[in-house]
Amino acid sequence: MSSAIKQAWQSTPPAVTALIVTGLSSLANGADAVSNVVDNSSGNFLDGVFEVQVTSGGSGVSATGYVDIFLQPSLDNSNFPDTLNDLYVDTVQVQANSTTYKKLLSISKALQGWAAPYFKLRFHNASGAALTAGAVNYNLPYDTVG
Amino acid sequence: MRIAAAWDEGKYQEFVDRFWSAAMAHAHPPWLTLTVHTEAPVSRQPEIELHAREDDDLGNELIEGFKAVFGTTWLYP
Repeated sequence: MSSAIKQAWQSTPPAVTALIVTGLSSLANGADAVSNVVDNSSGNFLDGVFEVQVTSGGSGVSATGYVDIFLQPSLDNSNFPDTLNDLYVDTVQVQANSTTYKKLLSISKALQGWAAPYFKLRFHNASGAALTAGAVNYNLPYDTVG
Repeated sequence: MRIAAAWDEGKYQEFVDRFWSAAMAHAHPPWLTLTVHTEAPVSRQPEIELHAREDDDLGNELIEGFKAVFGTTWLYP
């Protein structure tokens, strides 16, 4: 008899926690903002689901603009990868002036099956103009076999 | 060179307006980064870090601009 493989949320509907990202709400074109640390050392969750919302600049946004998101995992909450050697997670397309873009994304594909005890997210603005707003929320879901 | 300063929104905007935006309008070599850290590696406080090459005209101009705008700065290895 087969059993379904399910993912269990910590609560229903999933409660979200705000991720603090200093500088995201005014991030200059070509610049990066790195979040505070998410402590996953006791939960050891295999995935994190993030809601990312950014608002583009009033002028100068490229028709091919975007915001890239990277993962900076750490084993000891001290040594994190530098910005040239962290792990790509996803891209938010940002291609028009004065527009709010939202994306829901998972970090599991960057982790490839292992649980990061500690991690940060890095946001790289390649939209062509400074952002005018930004916010990130997340939930760490359980992974279970039902 | 990795040069850093305490996070200051006003000084950040000044640096971007006077130096960073002009640099981005011309080129963005991969070794040139401007990063805002919510928890910096050592201080665990918000910091801004410029990673640039001193042996490059653009990098050197940004480093000098960073020092002029932020005043108190420090280096990371």
